Amino acid sequence: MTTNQAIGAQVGNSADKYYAAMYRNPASDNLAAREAGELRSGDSTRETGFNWDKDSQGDANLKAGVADSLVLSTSTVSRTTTFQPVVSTRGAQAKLQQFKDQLTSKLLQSYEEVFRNTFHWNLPLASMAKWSIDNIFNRLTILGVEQGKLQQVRQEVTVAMRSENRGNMRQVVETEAYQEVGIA
Amino acid sequence: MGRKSKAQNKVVNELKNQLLVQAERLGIRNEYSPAWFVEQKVLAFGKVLSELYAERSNLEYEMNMLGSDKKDLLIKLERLHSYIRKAESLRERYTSQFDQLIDKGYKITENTQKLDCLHRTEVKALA
Repeated sequence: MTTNQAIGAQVGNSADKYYAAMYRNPASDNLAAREAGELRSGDSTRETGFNWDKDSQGDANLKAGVADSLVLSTSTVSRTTTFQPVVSTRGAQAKLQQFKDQLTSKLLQSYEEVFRNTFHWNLPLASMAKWSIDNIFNRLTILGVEQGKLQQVRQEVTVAMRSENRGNMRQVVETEAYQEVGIA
Repeated sequence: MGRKSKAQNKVVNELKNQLLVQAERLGIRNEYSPAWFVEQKVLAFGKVLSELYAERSNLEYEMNMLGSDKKDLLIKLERLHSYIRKAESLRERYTSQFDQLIDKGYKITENTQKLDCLHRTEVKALA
């Protein structure tokens, strides 16, 4: 009996050593603790989802913690048990959409300002604006802004600037009239 | 013309040139014809005159009040009258200039139409 117990203990120890050696993973967080003897092979849940449980005799037995299943699609492979995409991805998508909307709105604003500058009387500034507008246009196209929307922005800016130009020219003529009369 | 008014003229001309360049880029340069400028001048003188008339009525009202400085007001009124006369004469000048331009434009249009008509007749005769 004593011998049997000794043999059993030896077998148990060798099984521990065997499994510990077999599943030693350098990337595992438990590695250092296991080597120091603080943790044994059956004390932790592995990355695979398996559990090492000891039975009544002290032998380590492998048990499936959560059954993994591979969900195959044409392009992706995902493990249903490793993460929960339903909740987390929804939040991320909303944030992504919000970011996209903000970026689009800012780029449209920049597009409007730069398009305004393309009519500037200063030639270098107008040339610079023409160069910049191509870059903004490309980014807006990547973001999926429709050409109709850009056309509308261009139309609105042109109409507003024409009106502004006429008003300014009238103001200049009025100033000239005051000067001709002699009122400074 | 004083140095100050020369500097003002320079600034106004520079502004005008910049606006014309901008108008060229906006595709509305053709709108700023000589007739447009003269018409705007006539309108501007009308505005100047209405302001001068309002100022004159204010000064006349002040003249009729007791305790006002009559001498100072008379000097102001005289100066204002000179401005009014100048503005009126300038408005008349620009109005006549505008009429001439309109007549010229009308004649040009009329002649162009006549030329077109002659051309069409010639084409028909040749055919």
